[in-house]
Amino acid sequence: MNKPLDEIILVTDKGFAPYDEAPSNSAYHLSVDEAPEAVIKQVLATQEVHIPFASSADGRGFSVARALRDYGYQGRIFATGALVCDHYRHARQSGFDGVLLTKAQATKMPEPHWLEQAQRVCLNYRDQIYA
Amino acid sequence: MYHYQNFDKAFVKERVSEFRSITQRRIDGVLSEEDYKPFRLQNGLYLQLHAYMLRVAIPYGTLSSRQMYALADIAQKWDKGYGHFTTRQNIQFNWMRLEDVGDVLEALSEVDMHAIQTSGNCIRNVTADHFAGAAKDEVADPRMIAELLRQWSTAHPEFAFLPRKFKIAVTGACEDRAVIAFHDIGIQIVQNEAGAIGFRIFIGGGLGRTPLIGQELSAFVPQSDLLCYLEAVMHIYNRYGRRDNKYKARIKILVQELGLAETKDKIERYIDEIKDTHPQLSSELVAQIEADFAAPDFSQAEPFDLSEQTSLSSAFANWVAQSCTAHRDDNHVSVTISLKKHGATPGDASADQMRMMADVAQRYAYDELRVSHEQNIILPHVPKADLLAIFEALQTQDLATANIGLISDIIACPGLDYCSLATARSIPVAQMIANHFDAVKKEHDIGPLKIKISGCINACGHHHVGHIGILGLDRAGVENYQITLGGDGSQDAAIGERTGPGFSYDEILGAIDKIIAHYLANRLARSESFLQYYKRVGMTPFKQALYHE
Repeated sequence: MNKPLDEIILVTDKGFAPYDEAPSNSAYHLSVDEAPEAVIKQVLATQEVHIPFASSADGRGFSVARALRDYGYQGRIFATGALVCDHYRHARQSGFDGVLLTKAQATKMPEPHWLEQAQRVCLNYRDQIYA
Repeated sequence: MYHYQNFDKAFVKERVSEFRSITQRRIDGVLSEEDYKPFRLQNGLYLQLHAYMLRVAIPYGTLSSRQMYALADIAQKWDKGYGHFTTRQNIQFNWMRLEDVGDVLEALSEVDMHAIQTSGNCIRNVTADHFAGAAKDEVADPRMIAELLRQWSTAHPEFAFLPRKFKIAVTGACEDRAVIAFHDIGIQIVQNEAGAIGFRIFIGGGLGRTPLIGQELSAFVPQSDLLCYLEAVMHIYNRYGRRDNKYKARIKILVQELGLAETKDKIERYIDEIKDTHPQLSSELVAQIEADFAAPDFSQAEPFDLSEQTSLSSAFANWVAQSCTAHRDDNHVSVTISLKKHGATPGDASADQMRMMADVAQRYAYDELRVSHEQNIILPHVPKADLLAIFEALQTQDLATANIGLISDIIACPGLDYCSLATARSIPVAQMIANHFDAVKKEHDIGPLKIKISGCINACGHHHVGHIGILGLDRAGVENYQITLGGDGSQDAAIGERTGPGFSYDEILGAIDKIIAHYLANRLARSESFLQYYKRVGMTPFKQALYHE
């Protein structure tokens, strides 16, 4: 996310917060066109990964995050790009820790919208079908 | 039938609230139409030619009389008094007002129904053999696995924004009535040599502008591994499926471009990554689903000889012959209620007709109905002794047409009468053909014949697998209908072959008449069906009949 830090807003289950960047600007920017398995060694060496979403209809980022978790990545994973608050549930349940917004995005869709969606994370069929 | 648990009820209520919230954001201008669209579609709401259309999910086509009554009420209160049963075993209401949709979803939730994932680029309503649990040739009832897949795929966080829609069908029988070869994933329940039940998986089948027959991805996936296996298939599709061209975005194209071997390799390598950590299925849930799908107590039905009743009424005899299918219990049959009265819109049912079908199911048929992908309604378990009463009740609502499996039992998409994608009319063509062969009293002589009509290349009317397929196109502003022959959606899957140049709207009935006349004049015997005849003689004599006589 090529923005000054004060123009980035972090969305988590608690709402908006200033983005506390990964130490020494070390976040790995993983394109959805890259195969996570091909870069997993480099990714595992970092404490944070950013995965961009090209459009609100393109869900590749969810699978990429899922794959990173499957490969054992335990650092922070944030979604960036064309997400709206209605994607929040999908992001959290796919392995993301939160979403990074630009100020413009946050202004257009303020915190209450995101908080409302954050509360929907709890209803998940996967909790039902697996022991 | 599966009985909603507290979680299911809470989930559906939550989705209604979520939909209202998303729609409000759209109305307030917080969401653009582009951002709103995927969420609107995932809640079953389309914008069609004349109005919004709401497609309601009927999981694997199974519903209770209480649910059918509710659909009738919705048709009457919020639509124009009827609904349209679809080839994905759902129902759609074609005249919705956007401001009513939240209330309709609320009404659906009261009877454990919803419109979730009936459209959009996600895993759609899982379909299954409409004779599930009743068929004589069944290895196992596919509804249990279909229900499990419903739960697994519902609001799956990873697979809600796929490259394109994704369709799964399941059959548990030898005869494929679920058309599994033409689905993104087709699942056949099989038994291995050790007697264990598992799943044969097909991938990459589909209709549309690139019709392809599914290929075997695995000959046997054990029951315990199925969800892990499907999770891997979906994961690979979501990551590698094309997004640059919506017409090349289905998994069939990915399989075609990668090849089956590489597709399989990618899937299996991902399975290797996740199999050790993939959670185990809840045994409580499995036990609950199995209990919910336990067969009714068939022993209450007495043996019954229909011959006296059929000898007194040829109409009843005819209806029994066409509409009843052998059941696993000799004292029962499965009844198919035709939604194809000659001249009617295939798949449409009025609110009164829905109520009548619900009445009959409640009174005589263990309170269960099914929607078939051929757009008819099934009563899966009917004691033979009750058939006459059912026939007489159905007659009062024009629901006793004895044409199941015949030339007028046509699948037709909504076509240009409703659909914003259509390039030609489908419904009037179906009506024209049905009326004609009824008027000349030939359809029983013609025998088993499946005509399927699509009003555009997207093939929602399944024309590729019609014994006779009709595809309506737009040629310089004029409707033009191509004919295909020899398509087959059964276990002998085949894609129909084009006869040659198409026909205008005014010519299409004459062309179908020529095809039928040729078949009737040249079949070996009445017992040789149209499809058998076509397979024996091929296309050439039909071309001769169509274009050179």
